[in-house]
Amino acid sequence: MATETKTAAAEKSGKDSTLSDKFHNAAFINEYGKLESLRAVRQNTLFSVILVNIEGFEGTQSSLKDPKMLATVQKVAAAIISAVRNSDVVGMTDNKQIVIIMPETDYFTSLSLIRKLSHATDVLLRDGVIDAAVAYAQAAFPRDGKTYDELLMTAKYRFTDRKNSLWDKLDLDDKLFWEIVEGLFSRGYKGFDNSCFDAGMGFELTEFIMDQINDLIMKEIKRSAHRKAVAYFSARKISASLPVAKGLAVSGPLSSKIYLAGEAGDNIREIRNASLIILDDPRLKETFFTFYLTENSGYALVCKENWGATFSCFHTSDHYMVEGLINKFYKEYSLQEQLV
Amino acid sequence: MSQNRILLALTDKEDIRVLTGYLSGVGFELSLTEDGAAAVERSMTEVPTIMIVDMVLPVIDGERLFKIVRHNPHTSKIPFIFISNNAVDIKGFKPGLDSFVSRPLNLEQVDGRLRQAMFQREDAHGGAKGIEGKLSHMSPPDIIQFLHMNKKEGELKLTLGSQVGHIYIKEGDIYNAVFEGVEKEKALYRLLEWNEGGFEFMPKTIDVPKKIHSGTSNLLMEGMRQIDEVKRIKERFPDQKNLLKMKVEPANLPKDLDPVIYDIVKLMKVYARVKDLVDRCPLPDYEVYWTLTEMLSRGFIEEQKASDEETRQGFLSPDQTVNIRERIINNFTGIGNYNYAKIFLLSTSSVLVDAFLDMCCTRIPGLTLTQKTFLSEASVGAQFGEVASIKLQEGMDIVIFSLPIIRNMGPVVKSFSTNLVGLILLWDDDVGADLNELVDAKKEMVALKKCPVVHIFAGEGEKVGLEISYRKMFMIKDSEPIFKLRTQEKGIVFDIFNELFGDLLKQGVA
Repeated sequence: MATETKTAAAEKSGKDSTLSDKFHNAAFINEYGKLESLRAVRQNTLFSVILVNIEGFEGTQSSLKDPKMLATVQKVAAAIISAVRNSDVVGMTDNKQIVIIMPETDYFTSLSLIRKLSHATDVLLRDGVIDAAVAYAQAAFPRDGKTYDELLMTAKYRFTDRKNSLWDKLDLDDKLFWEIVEGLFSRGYKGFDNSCFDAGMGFELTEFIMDQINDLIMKEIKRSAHRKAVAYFSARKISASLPVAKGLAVSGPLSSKIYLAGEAGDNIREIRNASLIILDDPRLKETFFTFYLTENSGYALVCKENWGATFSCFHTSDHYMVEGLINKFYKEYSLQEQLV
Repeated sequence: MSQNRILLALTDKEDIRVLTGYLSGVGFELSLTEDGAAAVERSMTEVPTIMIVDMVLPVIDGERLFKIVRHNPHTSKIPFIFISNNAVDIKGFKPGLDSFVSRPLNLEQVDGRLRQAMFQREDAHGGAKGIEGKLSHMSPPDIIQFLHMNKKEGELKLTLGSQVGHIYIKEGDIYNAVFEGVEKEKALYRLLEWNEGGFEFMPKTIDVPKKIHSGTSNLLMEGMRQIDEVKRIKERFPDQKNLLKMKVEPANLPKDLDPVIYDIVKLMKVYARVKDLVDRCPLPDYEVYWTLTEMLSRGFIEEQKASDEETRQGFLSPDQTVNIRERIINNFTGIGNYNYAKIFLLSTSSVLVDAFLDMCCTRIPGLTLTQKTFLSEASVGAQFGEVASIKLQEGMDIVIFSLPIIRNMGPVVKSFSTNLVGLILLWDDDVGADLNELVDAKKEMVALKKCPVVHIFAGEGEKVGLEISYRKMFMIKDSEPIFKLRTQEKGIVFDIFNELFGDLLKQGVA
């Protein structure tokens, strides 16, 4: 021990031997979280935390004494450790909840990491390695709190807050992307969170409402070019002549990530400021979607073309719905995450 | 440096097969090495556009290769795309310029990263300063002549205080000029006048469309002539602060007039102040002034002296501007990330929005209609989204955001309300309009944002009972006014905005 540095000793004692070498105990993780928040304040950098909720795991030491539960937690922890980056730190909070501290990570990257983690734990569930559902909630500095404890509180609050969202009310986690989309049109939602409307010939709204909303989003993105957001626009065919692509062509560098999804059309190499997701899926020929997520708000629009140039549309301002739809879209089409 | 050469440093046969097939198929010139040392050598001899590198390479690994290439000034700007099984921390990694692609390779993702890296690289190259100096030492015409003679390509940026103008030059020819929302010759001629401030010329690839078609020498001569003419006969032109009014019906104007006159008549439907007309008309200032003078002398229009409020440079005083800006930044959570705040204009019909904007824009100095709104001057189409803006100090704008069709548009209202600082509710006595939607929108927004609200009734009804029922319906206190929008009382728009901004300054908003 005499030859070990203090940090190494703390790190060694911080490993939770019942789980994995890279899994740290509450004392270490609390200290690390606090230091990370101090560093973020001092150096004006970012960091995020992700809390993991394992169904049936009540967050007590006694529940870890149940061999089955311990095995589940170990499997989940191992899957998480293999999915996170080398810079991320995984451990257990005082309340026996798995937490991941991610230095230099903003809100959007933490959402990407949740998708990656959830893919890893979904595989365990699918293969019967575990039989408990795993849920994730994140919080990012400084958006959701200035200290580590505040971030943990926000992440915890999100678990309960999400229960009020349409996503959880309809239990959409277990459904496929297109199954969810199909189910949204027929329910006749009305209100400020979720709403349905018809557009096209014979309706109050014309079919151009979709272009108008996309234009609205593009303007928001371009007005604050330094602000981060993600936007997904689907089209029958991606081409440089799409209104969205034209809007992007005349814009300078943007901090937002913009994706265009659909079949490859003309002059796609001329499209600027966007990543293309080339999908040859017949469902994208009759159903269009727009997902827009910022740090403060979310918006999703899904429109299905019916006979006679009319459209059934659903749109939502529910953040969890927007996140859920984006996650499902990623999962369904095996899109890869860019974690930087 | 080849424009499209990619240096691949890969060892995995499957990666090589997939990437070389795809990249050569889309027209890139490829150079392949299978170890890090060879990649370092090639990066210096060939200087590729982008490097795609496996993290695990023989001799010199991917991370070390990255450090060597990044530290060499000749190769430091080459973007890297790393192929790895998982993302790792690399010192000097520039998100946006460099990126990771995880295995198994997804070609769409690779394509996205390539595209991103190429544009970022262009921007990074464009950021390099070429020449800079003071306009008092070298005037804009002299700089342009110098660049023209040397057939330079790049962006000439002129700065005067907080004002910035851009002139895009390719092969020595002027492609376009942009200054405070105006472009082409109009912007160029305004910039030619500057004799103080600074300039920078940044050599870079210019891909803006050619919007100025005259030769550089002609442009400079014509520009200087117009500037001299404006100075010489300034007294004959209408005063910038005054208002202009049509004396004859536009439909009764003769048919064979200069087309510029018809353009100005169209603009006069929206703008009344001389300054606004000159600013909004795409023709050079001298030509607009000349045409206005001509129209005055022929009796098509008349000049009216503006009231004190209307002669101000901006609708808000400098103190008000600073206070409102501070209030917005300090009191609205998260607003610091935005360079603009929104006022929602919620109405039961787009016709009402047009009527309201028409009144505002012809009267309120400093309020600018968005181009789309101006183009849809026929006012038939729904006014959706940003319709006008008022500039505050230090790059902050207040945007008037219209959502005329409230029915089932709740999520749009809620999602785009993040930086909301005020609400204008506008309705009339059209029995077909669903006022409940408007009432619900007010309740939702006030609960969410606690922002000030002004109410405007644009109908003809004068019955006392009607106002009482509106007050009850919208829960308007007796101390709060319901403004009545009448075309003959155009000054009302000042009261509306004064009420809104007054409330904003008074309120301890959350």
